[in-house]
Amino acid sequence: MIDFVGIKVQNNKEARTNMSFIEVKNLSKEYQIAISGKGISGAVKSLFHREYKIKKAVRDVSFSLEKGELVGYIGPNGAGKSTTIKMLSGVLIPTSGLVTVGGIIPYKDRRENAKHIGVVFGQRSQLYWDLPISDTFELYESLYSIPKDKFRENCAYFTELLDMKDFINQPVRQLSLGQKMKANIAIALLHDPDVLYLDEPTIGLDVTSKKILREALKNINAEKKTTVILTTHDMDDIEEVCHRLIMIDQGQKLFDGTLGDFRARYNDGFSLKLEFEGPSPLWQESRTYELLEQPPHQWIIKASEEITSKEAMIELIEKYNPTNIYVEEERIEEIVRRAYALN
Amino acid sequence: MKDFFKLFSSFFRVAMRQEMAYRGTYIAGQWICYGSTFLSLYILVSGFEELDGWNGAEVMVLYGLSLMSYAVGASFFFNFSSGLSRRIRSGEFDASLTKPIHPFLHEVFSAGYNVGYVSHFTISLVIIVIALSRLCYTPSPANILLLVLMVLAGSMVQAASLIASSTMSFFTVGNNPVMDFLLWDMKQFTNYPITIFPKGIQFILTFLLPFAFINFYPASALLGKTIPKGYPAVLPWLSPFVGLLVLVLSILLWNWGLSHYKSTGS
Repeated sequence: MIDFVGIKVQNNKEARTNMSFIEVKNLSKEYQIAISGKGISGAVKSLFHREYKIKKAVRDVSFSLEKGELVGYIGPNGAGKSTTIKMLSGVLIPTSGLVTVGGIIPYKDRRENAKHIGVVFGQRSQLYWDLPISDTFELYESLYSIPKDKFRENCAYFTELLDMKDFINQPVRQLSLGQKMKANIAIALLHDPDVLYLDEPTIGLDVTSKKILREALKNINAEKKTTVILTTHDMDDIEEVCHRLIMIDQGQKLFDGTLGDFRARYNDGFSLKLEFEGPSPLWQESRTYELLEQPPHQWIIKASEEITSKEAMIELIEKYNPTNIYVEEERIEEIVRRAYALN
Repeated sequence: MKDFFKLFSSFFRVAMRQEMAYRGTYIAGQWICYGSTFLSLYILVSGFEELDGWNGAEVMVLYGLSLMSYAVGASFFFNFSSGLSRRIRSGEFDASLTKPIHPFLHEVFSAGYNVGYVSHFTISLVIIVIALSRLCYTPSPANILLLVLMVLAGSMVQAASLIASSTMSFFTVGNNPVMDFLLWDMKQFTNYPITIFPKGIQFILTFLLPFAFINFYPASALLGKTIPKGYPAVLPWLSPFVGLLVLVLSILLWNWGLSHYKSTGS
């Protein structure tokens, strides 16, 4: 027994020096989906013989993360984001490929892995409906065997950080969506996990709650050195919170890099807004510019990436003489939309 | 083990606070419902002299044991069993797989203790006490211990059937009529001494779906009643072991369902 443990520790150490904190290699997950025939005859047939179709939710995805990274994992619906998170957190067993988190293979050593991670799966609350959050906190204290002083310290820290003072003693059923999300994040972090997995943390929240959550995530990452992986549809989450972006679509990784790299790779220009005092002049077709919209007294123009914004401004002022001219960097949302369309 | 009880008591406290919020009226309702069931049964058994060698009071013991063991088993496992399918569909179940304890324990703990079964328990206690005093059963410490042990035996079988039926949730969406038949309708046999049924049914209820260990064999041990011909005479006394065995088997079955879920995502 002692020998066995000794070997295990050594292996882990070796693994830690060579590998990143989170290592995902050629990860794939296939689901079998039962196809049931139509009508009663189909239902009867499927009782005896079921046909299956294989859905590849995640295909051959690889990436590695260092400790303390804040990564946005994005993709359209059904891209395989949640499936990846479930394999990282030990919920699902991969069909093939390798996952290690801090030297632990999550699905093999699920319980050990669970001690070091915090998980928030979207709006699926882990709170108890009729209890105040403070009671759920105490439950998690014994669930994770959190030392008393650390528990007290973290309770105070997260109550303050997530602005939960006002509702910590109210039953959960009386809380708003934003308050519940804050509470879910707090309980996922009480035991000081190394990694926090967030599946769609801002979905359905109002602007203020989103802002508080994003700030909190940045703070937690900076102060507690917690590695954060979040899946999202909201590109503002990415823009404001994440250092790095991994994009997948149809189970395959399409992009992995910084936000700057992402812009550079998929951005093909910028847009300009021209305002006119009187009626707008006549638009002249050109290869460099494209007229996107023309609300009253305004033009929204898309410029190609071949020219600089300075050149474009000078040229457009000379040609059309607008009263005002604004340059706008393309919104990350637009870029992502195009990136999905391209692939 | 110490941690286990600490954790259990934490969850238990939470469940009690949650339950007490609105259980008062519910419990009163249960009293009326089961009280009347008992009354109709009482009228029924006092109407005839004997049922295959079991007199009215003995059949009451049979009924009381069935209800009490269900109350004990279901208070711990009913919420868990009936809610699992919904929790899997909604994705809440996944959270149990990200906790540092076994998912089965987490599911059972977080499903909560169902306080509503306190009413079943008290009704069945009244039934058993009345019936046993009619039978002049001496309330010696040894006899009371035996009674407790036999109730526990039945409770474990009841718990096992709830656990086993929830296992289907890992494979199919919604309720499974076959499983419902096996685990609920077959249990109806336990209202009567199994010796009144054909041999095949006696065999099934003893060795395949051992529902006879919910109350028939425990009652046989308590009251010294005859068991089906040809069956080992020690069978009634094995009830606690059979209870433990089927409980363990049901948890193993559940774990098997869980591993299917983890590799297929249901």
